Amino acid sequence: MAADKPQLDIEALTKSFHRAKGQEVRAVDNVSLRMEMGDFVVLLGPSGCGKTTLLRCVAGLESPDSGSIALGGAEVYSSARRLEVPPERRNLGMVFQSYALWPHMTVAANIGYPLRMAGQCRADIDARVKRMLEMMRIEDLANQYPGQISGGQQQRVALARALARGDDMILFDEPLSNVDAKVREHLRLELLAMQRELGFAALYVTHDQEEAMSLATQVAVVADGAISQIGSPQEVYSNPKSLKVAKFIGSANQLDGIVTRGGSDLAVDTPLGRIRLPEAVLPYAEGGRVSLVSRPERWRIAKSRPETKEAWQGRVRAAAFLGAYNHYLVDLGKTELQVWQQGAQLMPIGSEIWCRVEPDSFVVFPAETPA
Amino acid sequence: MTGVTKSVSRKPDGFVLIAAAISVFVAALIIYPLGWVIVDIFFTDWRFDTTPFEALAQEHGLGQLILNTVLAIGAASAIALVIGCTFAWLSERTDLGMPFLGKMLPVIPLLIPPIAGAIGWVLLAAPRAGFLNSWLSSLASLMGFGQTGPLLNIFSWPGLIFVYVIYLVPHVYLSVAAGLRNLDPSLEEAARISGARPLAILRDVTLPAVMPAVVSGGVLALITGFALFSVPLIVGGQGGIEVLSVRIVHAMIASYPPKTGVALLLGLAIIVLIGSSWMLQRAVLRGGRFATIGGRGMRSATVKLGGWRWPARIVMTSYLLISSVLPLVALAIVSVQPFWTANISFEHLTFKHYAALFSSNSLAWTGLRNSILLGVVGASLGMLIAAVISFYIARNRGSRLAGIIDGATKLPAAVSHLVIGIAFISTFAGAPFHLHGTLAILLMAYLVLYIPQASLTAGTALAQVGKELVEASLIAGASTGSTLMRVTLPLMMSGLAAGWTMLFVLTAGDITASAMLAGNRNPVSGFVILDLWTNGSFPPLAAFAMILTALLSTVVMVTLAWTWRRR
Repeated sequence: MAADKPQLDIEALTKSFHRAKGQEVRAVDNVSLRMEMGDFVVLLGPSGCGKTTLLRCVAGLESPDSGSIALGGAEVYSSARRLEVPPERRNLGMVFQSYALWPHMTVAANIGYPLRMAGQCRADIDARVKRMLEMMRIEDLANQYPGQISGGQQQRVALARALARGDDMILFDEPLSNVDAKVREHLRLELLAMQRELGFAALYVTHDQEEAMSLATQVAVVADGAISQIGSPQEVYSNPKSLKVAKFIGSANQLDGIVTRGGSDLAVDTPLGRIRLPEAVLPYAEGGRVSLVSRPERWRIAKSRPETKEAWQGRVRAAAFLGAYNHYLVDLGKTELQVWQQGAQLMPIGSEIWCRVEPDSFVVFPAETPA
Repeated sequence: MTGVTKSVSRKPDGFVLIAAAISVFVAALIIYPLGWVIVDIFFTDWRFDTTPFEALAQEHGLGQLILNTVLAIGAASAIALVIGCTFAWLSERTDLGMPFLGKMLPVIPLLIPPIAGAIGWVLLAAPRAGFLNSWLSSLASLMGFGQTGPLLNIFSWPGLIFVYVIYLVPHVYLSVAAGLRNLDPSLEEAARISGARPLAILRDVTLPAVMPAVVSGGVLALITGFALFSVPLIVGGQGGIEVLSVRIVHAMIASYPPKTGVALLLGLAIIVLIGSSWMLQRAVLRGGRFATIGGRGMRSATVKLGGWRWPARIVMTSYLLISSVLPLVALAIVSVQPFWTANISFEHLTFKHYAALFSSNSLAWTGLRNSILLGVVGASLGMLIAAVISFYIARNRGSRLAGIIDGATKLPAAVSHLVIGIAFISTFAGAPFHLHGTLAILLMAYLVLYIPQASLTAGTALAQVGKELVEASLIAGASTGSTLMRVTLPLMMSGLAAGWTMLFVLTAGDITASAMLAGNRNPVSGFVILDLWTNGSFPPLAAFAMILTALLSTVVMVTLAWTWRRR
């Protein structure tokens, strides 16, 4: 495999579905995406956004309408060349949402199946299966059937099967959505360690942003069949390119307002009053309607009035203790604010408090025109 | 410690009492005759009586009889299994693109009663006057092969097995197609990703995963085959191939007094055969692990047939042609000819056989009217009873009485129809019931015969109504009875309608019980057909088979259209 070729190269891929009554839905709309070896790209989006369809196009389980897909430098789909390599000849691994373990085969037979299909000899298969079982620390399950093992164990078997052939590209279709929270967290860390160690390229579909953040080297936010933004988790989280991305990734407080000139600085008139912002953050003309988005963990609340000018008085409407953070819902007049703050003491509901935030915590977008 | 737990006594619900009463009555109607006939035949003055065994020993050719039965039905079931599985896979998993044919294939045998199909094939392939033989030999002489003997002979082993296969394929097809439809498609997708080619997927994943459906389809074919009476009577009789079901019916109706003991013992042989089929099923499925229903409702990636697409389409279409269209055409032709001949003459086209059938007070017309009446009443009553029973069982799950009732409604499926017929004759025909020659004995017998199918459909329809919907109605203060009438039944309607259709077709087209229980005083369509067959008058027989087929198809089509529109 040529080192200079990307591991996955999707160009201008489009796929539509025809609903009843002749309606056409663009599930994948002119998507381009490149991945190198070792990349872990997570397609993140709400259900129905087209992320699974994109993944299934890469697998060959769906036929796109147009565009091209290349794996390891070799084209597997090209509408221009009328080329479509069937899934069984694409040499990639896939973990399914339902695991799709064959109920009539033992764990070892499930894992060994891709090797058997590749025509490997028995001894090689046995050795490889043994290694995979060890790697997943499920050696004692080799002769069990999928129906006899727990959900977390099934997940490991599904992963072992996907990795068995040592393919360079592994696809994941919401693989952790069927296990409980505790197991999910554990498996996530294991998967991460495994991917960094083996170095395969992973394309992963999920609607869970926490999962996306913790796994990805690159998060691709998918909405309406297109990739809205792609970048490292930190980048996407702190510098969302659009209001849509900002609101989908993590929790966000939104303040709508109008840009005004307050003395020497630019400022935004919001329901909370005038908020002064540094010039760099606010490249919008005076009179423009904008939305200020801030993350709940950037806000601080206290019983006493802080020293800064940018502080507002409010009342705690709801408070929840979540271990590492306390989550508050604060009423500031007609505005509602989410605040996550560390601290041993949970402020009771109804407390009169002061909120503050650094001006550089705001990300500014042009306001969404009311539909 | 309070020590004593008082059970909360609820006010007995009127509906629950009625439901319990109906359930107990139906269970009794099933269990009582079966118990009674066994006691009556095998015990005299409460001592075991060996007379029936001595009578059985007098019967000739018993070994040959059982060998014939096992050979014919075993071979037919095996062939039906291969054909049914192939068709199910083609229409569920490939890009064959004939959804209508796929839907019709299992329905068509419901439209053409086995006896009509069997007669149709006799008309087509009888050695002397069969249409196909005549056409083929004219073709042969045209092509210069000279005079040849008959090419096809339906009255032979291959002929008998062939007609059996036509009526067994649908059972396999229905079972396997349902299994494939419910299979989680990602199981197959995972195999594709693993590098397996379509045939390897079929061998390694699809077939093993739907093995329970395949095996139960095969066993269903065996059981149906053992019970089928019309096909071996018509095709095997002329060919000198006798099977158990024919001998049993003859023992009951062709000899006087009826050889009930012999018939019952032979019936027990069928029960043993059915039992062995079930043992076989359990043995095959033991320790196996099979796919559970995925039910994510996702379209599965279909197998591309490529160059095989057209051959597959042609094979499926010709199967439809052979199994249904050809025999119907033969029946239609003969029904408008003065007599059955291979030389079709259009000048002598006549509808006099139809007219004769419809002339007032003819046996055929009375039989048809009785069949429609019994079909409507039997199907309505049967589905209502089945709905109430399944509702009762679901509400009282775990109670012993509910368990017994559940078992009793399944019993007729395990016991051969022939045995139930024998039991009804010996229990209800004479004193103290004196129901011989009445429609009542037929109605009761039909209800018992088809209650397993009815309660199966009702149970499935009930299971599809979410438990919460029923509970919400009870919480809202509705009684059990009004919950059933206002919530459960309306939601079960399309399932019940399908069940009603099936019951109507089975009842109006029944021949096994009718052969034994009907007579000149209470004729039904099955009896009329047998009567015409015995007289050897083919054109009226063909005309009657056409009318019956048209009637059943109309009912099926109307209800199908009705349920599809409601969806």
